[in-house]
Amino acid sequence: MNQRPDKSDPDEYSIEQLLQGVGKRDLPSAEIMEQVREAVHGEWLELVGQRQRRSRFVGYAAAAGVAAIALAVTVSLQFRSGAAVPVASIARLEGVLQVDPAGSDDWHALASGEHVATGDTLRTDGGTRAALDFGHGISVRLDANSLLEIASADRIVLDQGSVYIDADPHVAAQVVQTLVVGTPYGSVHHLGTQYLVSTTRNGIELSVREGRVEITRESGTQTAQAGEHLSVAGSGEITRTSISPQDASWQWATRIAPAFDIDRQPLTHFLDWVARETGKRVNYATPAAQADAAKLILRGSAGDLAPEQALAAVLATTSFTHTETAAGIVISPSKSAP
Amino acid sequence: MTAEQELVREMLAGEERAFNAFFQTYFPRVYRFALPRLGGDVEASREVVQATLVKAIRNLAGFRGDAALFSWICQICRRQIVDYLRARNRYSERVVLMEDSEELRAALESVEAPAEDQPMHQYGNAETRRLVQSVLDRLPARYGDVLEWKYVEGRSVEEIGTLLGVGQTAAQSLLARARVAFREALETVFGSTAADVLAGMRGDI
Repeated sequence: MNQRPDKSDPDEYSIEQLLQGVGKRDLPSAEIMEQVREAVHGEWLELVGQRQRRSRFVGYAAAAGVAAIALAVTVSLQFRSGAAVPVASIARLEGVLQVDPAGSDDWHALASGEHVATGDTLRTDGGTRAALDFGHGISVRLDANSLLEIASADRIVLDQGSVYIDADPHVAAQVVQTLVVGTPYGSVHHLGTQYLVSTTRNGIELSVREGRVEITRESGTQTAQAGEHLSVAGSGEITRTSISPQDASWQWATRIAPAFDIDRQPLTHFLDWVARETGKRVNYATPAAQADAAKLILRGSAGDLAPEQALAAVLATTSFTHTETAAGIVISPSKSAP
Repeated sequence: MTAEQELVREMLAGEERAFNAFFQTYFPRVYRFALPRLGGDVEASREVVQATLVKAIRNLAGFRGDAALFSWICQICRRQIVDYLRARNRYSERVVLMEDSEELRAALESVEAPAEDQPMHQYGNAETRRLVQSVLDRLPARYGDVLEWKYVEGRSVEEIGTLLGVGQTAAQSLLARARVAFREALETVFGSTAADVLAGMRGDI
């Protein structure tokens, strides 16, 4: 039964008249609602999962004796109080990197060498790029116009812009490397790799340069291999194309690559680094040239030079030279070498 | 513990029903909050609202209930709007609404606990419409929805009860409380009754 208010109740009648005059409030479309719901629901599931894992951890620790109890209490208090824990340092910086510690809305600039902690949000403007060292051979590079949250030591959240992850496979052989990149459209984790994640107006772009990565969303998990580029739309549609390891889209990450410490390193290690950073294969003119390069120990520093500049500078001090071909970089003994 | 704190507690405990209630209650409201502030750009609003709710979820454990949950989310949304426009070099396009003025903002945020000082202004028709809609969005519980269902869509009390999953008596009681809350909120924001606001819109005063 639908009883309309009448003028005998002027108060209710005036409310009805006013609301009818104002009209119905706008509602977003069902498509938008569904897209947003999927992203928010995914984040909520992630949050609940994290909390349950923490509870279990504290529970196990509590059962493991007095020493373990002390540790568990410390860890538990840290989680509960949301205390910031340093998790990475700024390995290289171009421009002005800003940080908002723990959502305090107190933005200030960070300098190269400083640490970032859990709860921090990092922001780059159009002229800023930064490389962060997460330890265990994991380098995270933040492109211009990006916003990144440090959720924990093994989880970062890309709110906008682009982030490049480089997990050094030499280090991966010795330690477990874990870093998940959360985005509003799914979480990405690597399986020993170099890859790039960018947010777009209604989804994410994922490019894999080396190894492979998995993207996990509410609708399931997708894997991307080296040389693949995935466009993941908020609607769930995924488009796969191919991408070269030397594609121009990698260049910004190469330019901001942390410097390689060449001191006391064999030339071959330095050349491996150049190859990974530039996406170019390094070939040796002869097996003997490769053997000689492995025996040559470098001294000194290449400073902050980008990989291709460092290559020219370092080789100039050795008996090797390089040429670039479509197949990559060829290392040969220089003609003046004995 | 308030109803909102209870909702947050249930969400943190992983209750799907609580998540659904949260999303259904706050998504449309936050969307309506963002849309006019982004100049009516639907795609930008979708992106900002999504980022806002994701961030709210991530910081949910930090919600203490000092402010209403919607006010807390609006605070996050304001920052997301600024970040969104700044990242796209569109900061100059930021739309500052009348209700972003300190005075009116305080009045709107106090709708759940009406303040004693009452700003009294004359607004244009479009402004009045948006303000009344903002008031509906700020009302606690689902009062705004209930009032809209009843007086704009013309639904019966029985239908409203069905929509909310409660009986007819509870729906009737909810509707009565919603009217009281709406009247008080109008007093806080406009400093006048529904009849006066209506008369202002019609140009009678």
